[in-house]
Amino acid sequence: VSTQSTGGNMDRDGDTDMGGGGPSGYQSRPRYNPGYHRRPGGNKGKFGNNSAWWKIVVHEAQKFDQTHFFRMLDQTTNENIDPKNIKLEKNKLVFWVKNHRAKDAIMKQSGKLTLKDHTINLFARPSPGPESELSGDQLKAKICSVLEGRYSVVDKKLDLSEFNRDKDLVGIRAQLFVISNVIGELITEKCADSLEEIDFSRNMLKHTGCIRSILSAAKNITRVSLEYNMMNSESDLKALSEHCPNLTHLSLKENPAKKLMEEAKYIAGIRRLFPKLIHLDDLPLPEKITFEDEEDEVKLPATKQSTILLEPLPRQALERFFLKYIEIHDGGKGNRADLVHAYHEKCLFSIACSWRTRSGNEGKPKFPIKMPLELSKKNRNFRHITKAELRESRLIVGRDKVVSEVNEMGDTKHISHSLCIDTSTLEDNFVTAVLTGVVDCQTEYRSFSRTFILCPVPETSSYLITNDQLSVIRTDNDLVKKIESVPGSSSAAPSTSGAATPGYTPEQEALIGRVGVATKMTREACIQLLTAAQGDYNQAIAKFAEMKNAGQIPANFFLSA
Amino acid sequence: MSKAAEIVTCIETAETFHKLFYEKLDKSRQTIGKLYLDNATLTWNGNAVKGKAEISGFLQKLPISHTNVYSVDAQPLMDSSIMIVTTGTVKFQSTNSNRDQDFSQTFVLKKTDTKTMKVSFDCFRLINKIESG
Repeated sequence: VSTQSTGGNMDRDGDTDMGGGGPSGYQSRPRYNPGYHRRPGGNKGKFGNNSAWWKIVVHEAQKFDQTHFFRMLDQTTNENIDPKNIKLEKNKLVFWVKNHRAKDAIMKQSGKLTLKDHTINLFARPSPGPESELSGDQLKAKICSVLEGRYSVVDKKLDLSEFNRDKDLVGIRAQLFVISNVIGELITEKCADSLEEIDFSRNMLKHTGCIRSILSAAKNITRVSLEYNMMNSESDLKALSEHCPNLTHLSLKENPAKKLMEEAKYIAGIRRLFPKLIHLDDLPLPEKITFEDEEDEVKLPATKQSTILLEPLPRQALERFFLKYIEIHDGGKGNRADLVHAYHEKCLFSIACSWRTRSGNEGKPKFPIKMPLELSKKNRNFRHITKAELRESRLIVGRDKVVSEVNEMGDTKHISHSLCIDTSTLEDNFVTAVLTGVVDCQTEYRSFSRTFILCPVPETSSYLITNDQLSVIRTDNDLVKKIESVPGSSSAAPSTSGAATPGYTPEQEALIGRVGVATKMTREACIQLLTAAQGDYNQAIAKFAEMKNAGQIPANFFLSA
Repeated sequence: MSKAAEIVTCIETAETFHKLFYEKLDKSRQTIGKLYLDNATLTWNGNAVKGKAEISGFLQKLPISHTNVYSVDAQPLMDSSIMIVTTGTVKFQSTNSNRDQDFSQTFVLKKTDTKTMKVSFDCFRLINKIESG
């Protein structure tokens, strides 16, 4: 730092204001200021060389005209200024002059020149020479070659200590905080994974923000030295720990931050930020005490496909029942009257929905943000519906009303590959069946779970629904994509464990055919009849006649004429 | 019991039961077996488990859970059992699935000789699952 006068104000680059104050508001300071070192003799400056160059910096360059400024300077100083390498650094105008007489003359004008009502303050500092104006690529190439000299492949270490004073960077503005982006890019390009140690010492770093790009580029960094810098806030260390969570070695010697914290707190604080640290400053850290409280890995049981806990015959009957049910259901709104054969006279039906937000889906076509209107009108979810009258009225009672409700619902297409069914027997051979999956309702997809309680009808070896509870939630986008990418997903067969449809031997097929001819019923109906008759043709026909006379055979069992 | 009274009882039971069940599931899993009948059946994501002791054992082995119930509905059955259906999200603490997953669960509760209601059937399914199997 120059010795020409004491005090003065120092700006970021270490320049001092020679004028010691002026109308723009700088306070005049007491003469003695221990913060600044005096160096005897000459213009040795920081570089210890005897270069005669001075760098002059003018702030707020946007507020005045350059040509005007230099003309004024010439006029008022009566010296041949001969400014070199005039350029703009952000909003500062900088240039170089070769001798101290020119510099002195210029600095005398600090605080005295006014252009367009703006008082010009000038700062000067010794410099090894005018900084060359390098293009982005040139700069990068230059820095790259310097870095190569400072990188040790064996140690996986990059030495960035005193970077801007590197002998190859003379005349180039290369303080770490200025070029950290470039270094970051170079690291990413050349050694992102192999670099493990960086020495940042002696770079006048005030906070880690300056070197953020470097730290993020070195993904496997474990050793960092920040010795002899100017870090002075704990929050900076936090930022550092976010960029380098895996540090094992850290040195913060000779940084004000360390002095701010008491020894014990310091270690504890650092430990919290860097859990893997084993070496701090000069010393290895004492080993961390741990308890074996890590839980053993508990895995979820594997998900299995549909479970049908029934004997084979009832199982087949059930499968057929649901195939038919879904087929009729998917026939569309208004076409579900045939379901009257599926429901018991005293059945119950209700719908419960929850339509929670899910990120990534909202608002897309077929993924509405709000619960579809038809669902919200019938929703009986106790969490949403608290009025007793609604809770009662939205439970639909009796076959006619239930079928009518189901028939009123919008079109559906059950996506077969998404379907899954879990069944089990209750007492009295009643069966519960829980059907889950995804249904395409034209205007939206819905994920659903539908619980049926079924009562067996031995005569037709089929079932009747006594309870039907439909729960609907919003579908997941990714799930639909996955499901629909499976070919043949438009048919409505629920997937079951084991073979899909039971195959029949040629003899059985022939038998079914005969029954079909005799009774004119659908194939499925014939199979049901035969099952009830335990495969005996005569018994089947006799049973058929009996039921037909009693009017017990549902209309849909017959082939359409 | 009249139809209306039956429905009301059903609703009350559903409200009380589901809170109790998930409270136990999340916070005191070791006592959850008490809610089941001796001959109850559990189908958990396709895994069939029969009998109170087996069910209790199976549930203890599951990782710690955190459940949020978003939907509850209930209907009376013909034999005065009660069917309860809940949906919501559950998070199991395990590294291969540490996120909220949608589930649907169906219970059938029956009255015991001592007039308490216990679970005779429990079917749990994760729905909206993206992983296959």
